[in-house]
Amino acid sequence: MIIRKINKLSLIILFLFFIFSTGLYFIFSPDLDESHVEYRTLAQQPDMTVDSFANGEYIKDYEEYFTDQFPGRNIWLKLYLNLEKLTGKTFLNGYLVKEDGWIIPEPNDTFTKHPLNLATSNLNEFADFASKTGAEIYFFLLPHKVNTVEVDTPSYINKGVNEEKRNYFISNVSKENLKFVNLGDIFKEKFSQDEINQMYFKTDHHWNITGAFNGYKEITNFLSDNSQYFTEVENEYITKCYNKNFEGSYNRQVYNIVDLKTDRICETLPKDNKFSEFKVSVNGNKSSFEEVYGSGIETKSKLIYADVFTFDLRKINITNPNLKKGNILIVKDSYGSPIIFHLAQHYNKTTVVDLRHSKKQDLVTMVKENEYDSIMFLYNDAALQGDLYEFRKAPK
Amino acid sequence: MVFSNLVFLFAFLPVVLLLYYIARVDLKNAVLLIASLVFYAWGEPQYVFLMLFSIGMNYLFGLGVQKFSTNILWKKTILIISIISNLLVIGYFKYSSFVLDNLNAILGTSWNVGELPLPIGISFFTFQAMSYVIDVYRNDAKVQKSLTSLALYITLFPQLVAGPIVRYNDVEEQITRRSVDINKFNDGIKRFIIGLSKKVLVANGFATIADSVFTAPANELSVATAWIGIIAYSLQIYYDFSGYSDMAIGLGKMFGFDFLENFNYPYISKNASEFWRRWHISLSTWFKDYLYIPLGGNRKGNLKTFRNILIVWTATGFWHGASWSFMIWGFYFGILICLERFGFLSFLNKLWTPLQHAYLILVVMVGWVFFRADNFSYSFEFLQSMFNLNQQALFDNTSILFLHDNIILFIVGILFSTPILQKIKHINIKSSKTFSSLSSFSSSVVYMILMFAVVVYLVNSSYNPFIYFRF
Repeated sequence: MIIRKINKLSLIILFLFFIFSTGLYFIFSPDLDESHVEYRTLAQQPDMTVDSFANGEYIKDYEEYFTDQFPGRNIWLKLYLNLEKLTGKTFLNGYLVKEDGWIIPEPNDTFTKHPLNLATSNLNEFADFASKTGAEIYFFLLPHKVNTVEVDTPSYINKGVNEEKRNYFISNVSKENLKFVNLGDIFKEKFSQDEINQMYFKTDHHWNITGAFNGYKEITNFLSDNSQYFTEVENEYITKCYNKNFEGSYNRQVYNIVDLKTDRICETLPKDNKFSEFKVSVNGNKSSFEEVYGSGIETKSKLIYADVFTFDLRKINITNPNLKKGNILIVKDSYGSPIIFHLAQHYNKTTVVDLRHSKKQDLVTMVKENEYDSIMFLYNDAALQGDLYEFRKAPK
Repeated sequence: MVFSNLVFLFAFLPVVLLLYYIARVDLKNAVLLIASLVFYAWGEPQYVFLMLFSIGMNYLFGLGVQKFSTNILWKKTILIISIISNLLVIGYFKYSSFVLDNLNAILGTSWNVGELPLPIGISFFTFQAMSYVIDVYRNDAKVQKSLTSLALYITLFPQLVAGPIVRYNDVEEQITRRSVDINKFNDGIKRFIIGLSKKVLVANGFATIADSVFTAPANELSVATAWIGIIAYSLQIYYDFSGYSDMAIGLGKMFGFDFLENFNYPYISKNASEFWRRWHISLSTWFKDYLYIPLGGNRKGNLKTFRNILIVWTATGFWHGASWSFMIWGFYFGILICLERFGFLSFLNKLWTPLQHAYLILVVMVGWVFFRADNFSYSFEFLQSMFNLNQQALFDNTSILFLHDNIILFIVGILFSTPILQKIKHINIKSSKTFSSLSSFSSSVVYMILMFAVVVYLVNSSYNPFIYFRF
């Protein structure tokens, strides 16, 4: 009888301890600013006003705050992931995680034409405008991992609509005023699928230096045949690899479920360290090759893609003292980051912009105010819409 | 506020429990009343005044009915005014858009009432308030002279927004006199955790599947996907609603109340009549006692019984939502119950028992298609997909993915929608005292594991709507 009573009490005590202690911990623990895994800022305690309470806004914000700042949130989230894994879910937080370390995002099945129409229309309009300034315009569509890597996946996973979207995008880009190169097609022609797979990080959404460097070589092959402002450069390259932990963007979203040593981080640079001679400025401030490229390699024990291949900076200006001609504007996303210095060695002046971060100046104005010989887009083929295609006005 | 919400679990509930148990006996109801108003205001602050108005109105009606207890005409008049007033309140907020839309369609007019959000739980608290006045009228309950006590009955937060519909005469005494001991509190926690687990671990999982299927074009679904979708929805709605009732009953126990059961394994029924004796029991008995019997029930011949059944079930459907789909869904059950009553049931009873179960499951699932779909054309296309009349494939990748990823969920969902646990508990295992103590302790551990799992899913998931929240 007493034992039964103790057992009943045990549930009462455990339950009450859990709800009271968690509530108290929530009150007294400091609030966090951001979630590393989700890559976002966390909700902070909202201010209550009569209006915000009456219209329900405060309540909504407070619940979001409570969930975001919940004690041990990351542990709970990781437990969720493990529970999902335990119950045999195909996708964990939207990713297929394979035993050999490959992380592949769940295919997207939604194909909405409107944003693609908007992007291609903006691009065509910009090319029309920019061509009138006399600049050569190139659009290199870089092969994104989701469109290029092929690994064994369960047969019941749909293919998704990425290829359809890419083809639709390509068919809608007017080739009248710009030279369009789909690097994905060239990769498929030149390399075996195994070789292609070697060009991508298993746990990140980017290509690795092998993919990027092959991309660079194909771009320069094309430019040497087609551009009057491009200068051939002879160089010997050396590839250096680092035995450091690499936290891929996909892996981070599944709480680094794949070993951080799965991907090897390498960089391919000229043997003679030529890039160090370049004059570099970032957002108008004097900088250097070493500060921009591979900035995290020496200082961090756990690297991410940007630590090695340049963060997504608003504007980088590079002057190559070894050449007298060529003034190019490179408009790129993160896929272009590993090769901007490689490309800069072929021109005297290189301006690199990332439109997702160029809130102060729109591209049309930049082209109007500067006399670029060449304008080059380096966009991956999964980024076919959005801010990257807002040329006439600064994106929000 | 909903129960399956971190703010409720780790802020509201501990504070209310603490205040309730440190309060003097004569202040406990006040604590609960204030907590209930905060609970309601947390969801939709502006509608707290509507509820207070409803409480005040029904308090006066109750007193009026009591005052004229010897004057039948006045007593009846006050009752009728109270029913009309309550129906006007619910009618304005819940049905006015629907009525005007239909009138506009018929008359070619363009009347509208503007944006009118539906106050949470209005169908539940209005029906509870009506039952109070009717019970006083029928002398089934004494008039409540304390406004606080009546307010507590109507607003009591465990059952405020999604039932069960607690009838006044069922809790009349408990409002003024109730007690809690370790056993009751322990039972309350267990029941609450079970309900929370049903909602968060099971119903929400099925909701993801059902939502995914029911947002796809119905005529493009493979046969298997359509069936997976409707099975998932059938289980979702059961676990969602019965889970909420369990949480309400459990919370009620923690504060000393005993609410009546609202679900009794409805999917093990063998016919539609039995199904409605097991599903949302508080609603079907409410309609039986306050509508079916006053209409004459089955005492005035077959034709009138037939009519009464159809009225009651169409009203039941309409109670669930202001749309023709809900009405047709209710009417459909009315027809089924009539058919069963007038001969079909005796035919069914002669069938092999599994066939009787199959019949019930099939007719209920067909009903859920109308209940879940946004319009009739979608419902019919969905039914065509289920029965392979759309020339779609039997299986596709979507159906295989659903099955692969959710097979455990389906097994758990189907198994626990039957009284399998109760059957297991009744197996008489001869065991030592130590073993029985250990098993009792381990059950506490199991409940806490469930509670942790719930928190894991709540922290992770922002997907947390209640199906019955808007009724």
